[in-house]
Amino acid sequence: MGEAKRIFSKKMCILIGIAVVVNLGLFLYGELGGRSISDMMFAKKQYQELVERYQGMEADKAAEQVGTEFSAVRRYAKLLTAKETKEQENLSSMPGGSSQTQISAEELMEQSDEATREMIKYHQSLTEEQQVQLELQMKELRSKLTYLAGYKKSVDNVFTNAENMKKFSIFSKKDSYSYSNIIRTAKDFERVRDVEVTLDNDKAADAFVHYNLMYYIAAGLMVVIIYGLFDERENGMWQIVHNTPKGRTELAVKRLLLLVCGSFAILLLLYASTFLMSLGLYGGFSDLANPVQTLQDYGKFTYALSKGGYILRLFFLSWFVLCGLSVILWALFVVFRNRNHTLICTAVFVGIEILVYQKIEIQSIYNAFHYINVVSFLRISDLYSIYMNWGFGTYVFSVMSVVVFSLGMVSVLAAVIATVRYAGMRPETRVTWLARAFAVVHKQYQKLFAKYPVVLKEVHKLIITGKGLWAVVCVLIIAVYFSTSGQMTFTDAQKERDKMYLEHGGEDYSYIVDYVEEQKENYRKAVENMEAAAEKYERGEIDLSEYSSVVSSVYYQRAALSMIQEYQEKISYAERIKEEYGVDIWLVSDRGYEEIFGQYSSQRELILLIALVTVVMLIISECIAMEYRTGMNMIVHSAGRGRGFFMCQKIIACVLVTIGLTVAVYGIDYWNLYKIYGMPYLSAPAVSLTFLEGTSMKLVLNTTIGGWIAICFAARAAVALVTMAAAVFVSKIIGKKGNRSIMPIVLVGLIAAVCILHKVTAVI
Amino acid sequence: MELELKNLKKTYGTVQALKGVSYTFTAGIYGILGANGAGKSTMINLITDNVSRDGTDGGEILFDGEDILKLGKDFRALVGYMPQQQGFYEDFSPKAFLKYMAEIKGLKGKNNEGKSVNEQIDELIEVVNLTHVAYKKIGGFSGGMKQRVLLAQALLGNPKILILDEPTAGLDPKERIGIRNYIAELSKDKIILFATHVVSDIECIADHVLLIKKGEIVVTGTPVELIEQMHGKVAEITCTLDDVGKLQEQYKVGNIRQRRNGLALRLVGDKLPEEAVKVEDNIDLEDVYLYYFE
Repeated sequence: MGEAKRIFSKKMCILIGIAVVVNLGLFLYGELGGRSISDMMFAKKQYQELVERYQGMEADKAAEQVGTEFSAVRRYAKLLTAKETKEQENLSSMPGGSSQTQISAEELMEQSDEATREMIKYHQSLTEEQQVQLELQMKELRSKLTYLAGYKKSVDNVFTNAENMKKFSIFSKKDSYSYSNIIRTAKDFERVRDVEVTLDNDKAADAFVHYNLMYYIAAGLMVVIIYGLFDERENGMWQIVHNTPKGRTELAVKRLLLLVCGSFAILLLLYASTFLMSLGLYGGFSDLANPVQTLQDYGKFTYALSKGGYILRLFFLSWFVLCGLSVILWALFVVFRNRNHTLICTAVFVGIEILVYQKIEIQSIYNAFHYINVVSFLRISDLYSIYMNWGFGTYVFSVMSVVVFSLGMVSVLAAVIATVRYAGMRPETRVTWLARAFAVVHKQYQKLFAKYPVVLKEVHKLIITGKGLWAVVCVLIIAVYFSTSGQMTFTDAQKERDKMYLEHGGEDYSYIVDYVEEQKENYRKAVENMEAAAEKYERGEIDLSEYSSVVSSVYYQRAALSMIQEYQEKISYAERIKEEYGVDIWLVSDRGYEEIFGQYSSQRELILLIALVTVVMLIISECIAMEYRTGMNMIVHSAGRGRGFFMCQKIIACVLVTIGLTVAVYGIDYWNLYKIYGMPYLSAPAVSLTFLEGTSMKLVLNTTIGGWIAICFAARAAVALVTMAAAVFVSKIIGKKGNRSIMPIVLVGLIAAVCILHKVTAVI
Repeated sequence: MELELKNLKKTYGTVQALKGVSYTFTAGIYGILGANGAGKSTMINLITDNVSRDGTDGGEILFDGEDILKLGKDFRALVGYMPQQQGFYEDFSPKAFLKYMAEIKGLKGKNNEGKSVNEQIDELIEVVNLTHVAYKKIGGFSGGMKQRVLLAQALLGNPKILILDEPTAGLDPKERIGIRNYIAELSKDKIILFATHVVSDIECIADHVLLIKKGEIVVTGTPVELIEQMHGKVAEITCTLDDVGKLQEQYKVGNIRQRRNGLALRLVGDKLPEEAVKVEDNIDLEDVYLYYFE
């Protein structure tokens, strides 16, 4: 009990609370996928309504109906858009132009059934953004219905294939693995032969089972707990504890139980809160009783479980994995005397595991390293949902069972070895080879470190002595995660247009202007030809097929015209900017830049800035407080240059760390975004990006795109430096008064200020 | 070279830690004896300017006639200070730590003996017997080793005023003697203030002793003078174990030694029991301490 109280102190409980909140935030962020909350809730509502609409139908019929309605709403919207373009208005004055368009849209409505007409009308009643959301939900539902329609057949195919394959000689040897695998597969799928899958509201369960971050967060918390179990090795208590009657085997067993119970409690908190949030967002509680196979990625899951049953079973499986990994890590900490060395070695090992997981394909002959892997263990839901067997001879095992068995065996062995070793390991004993290796490296570093000037030693104190390195690592992970997740996907048409901008856009976009004119001319000629053909057809000079071919070319040219609408809008925009502000813009694609610093970047930018501000506060608030904490304040204060000079060096070090962190965070951010979206035409006037119009026009008109990025970076660096100044002030108070509660108060204030600035300015 | 304390006062809230202390230090070793809370640390903190004075009523501290606050960093450049509380950056090695402190102290170029800063540091590391761990983390050191690092940083730059607060705490007897002897060698042209509870440390090397009690200097003098003042005030009495408690209630009892015929108690005070045998030859500073502080 005392050990539990020591580990689960107030500080730890606060950390767990923060982890739960962060986890829920990350889950929500993932579900938003770059949308606003209102868009997401609208999309959810649409999906629910669509499910209710098609629930009573057969899956294949429903899939067909959804497909029809989806095509119809998009086509109708395109036709209306084409009708509203300037070119169409111009062409409407040409013979046969407008009348052709109006008939097409009306014809579409007439040709459609009642349900489709209803859907088209509903689609047209929505705003543009809502229309996009509706279309996305329809697309998703169609894919889902296609899967549901084909599920039964896919299961039956397993049995059919099994029978057929047994007939082929290469599979029919009864003592071969291939044969045994066929039999085993058929036997496993027998469990789900009678499972009936229907359309239901399964978004909550779907989002939840695909969310893996909570396992990483739980694992991170367990690392902190395990690290805390070994405080005694550094605070001088080891000798005392080891000398007590209950300080050996009994303590080791207690700690083992603590890991088991602690992992349960932590995972339960994260798991339950995330699941409840998912249910809160998407509803569908009553549909949890339906088979888990209704989820699209669970077509190969061979247990007849409901969604609720699966989620419950997944919890206990995840707990088993978390517990097993924690015990193994604890055993490593026991065996290697120095906990920091163990942590470093573990981090290196996990890094290698991540690399192996990413590089080894699941089809590879080495896929054992992919599945028996820490990353794979922490993505337990993905592992549990796939159907894959290994084996040799007549022995066939599922991958999951191998993973569970191997993890179980290793963790039991680790627990036994660690308990025995813990009891027998004396505090004062010879140095291990690992400690010696680290000592050699450290000695060389200290030789170099002794030569550092004071300012670099101050930087070292902030990062290493003040344990700021943890915060640095966290913020870099956050930067990598948020700059690489939630990527926009572009359609093929958009990619083509971007290619055009790259090849023929920029400062001299005469090619694109000529191209647009050419397309307009082609359309005009096609319409002229069609009118001439209409007259000839009436006179009987040409037959229907010839006439139809001419009409088709008009449709083709019309489609080509709609493709260049974006260019036309850009050219009009360029003319307007020239007229209003006298600035010659370049023709540049907005798309990638909208993600980098436009409307789609808002959440990412805010999160990165809050993370940066938090880390700066956490690290810099130690700068003066550390001197009091270590007892150095009296010595330094009484030294010749221990005041003004010392403070100067400290401030310079704080500035270096702050700027370094800002460069690192935004360097990672921009680098990843550059790799994903590219950053073409950085020397183009910033106002070339249409979404920047109206934003601090004085700045935008007088700078380039690259300059704008630099201004945004400078603004954020300024925010970081202001935070640094506040943190120095906080540090002074913490040092002199010993009151740490001021730090979170100031931090919350700064974060609130950042949120406000983010809302009202364009550069932060 | 003269460090003068003039009517030095310091109040913390309602508690007056120093009540108008006046004293003049010249070159030599000054042992400062006092119980916890007597005002030793306050006096030291005022000299090192780690604590502010009580406005204009707080008295003055003059170095060669000038207020140390006006001298500012010029005075601090002359001071080497080793506090009682061990203060370190645990992941620094002694070499890195001393290099760091050398820069904070403003040491540059070569000293009067023509030694560079690095050479001075290497020499000090050798003096405090830490050459074999010069590049190991201080955090992994024993208490005594940490104490030696602290002493080395205080000695850095050959300060004119050396203030050592419990410098031998945590050291074994051999190390204690070594440090004491080293300090004794330094004292020729320095003012060394040596605050301690270990009376034997002062007895060996101090030129002068100050006894501080409740914020005031109760007595000062050379060890010989202070011991001579104790003539007729120290006696020994032999008794049984049962009598010890009674005697401790009535008199100040110092050492208790076992003899063949019982326990020999050393008594200190103005009034002593008649049956006690007066001690003439073996009076030491511990008796002086007992007389003034128990």
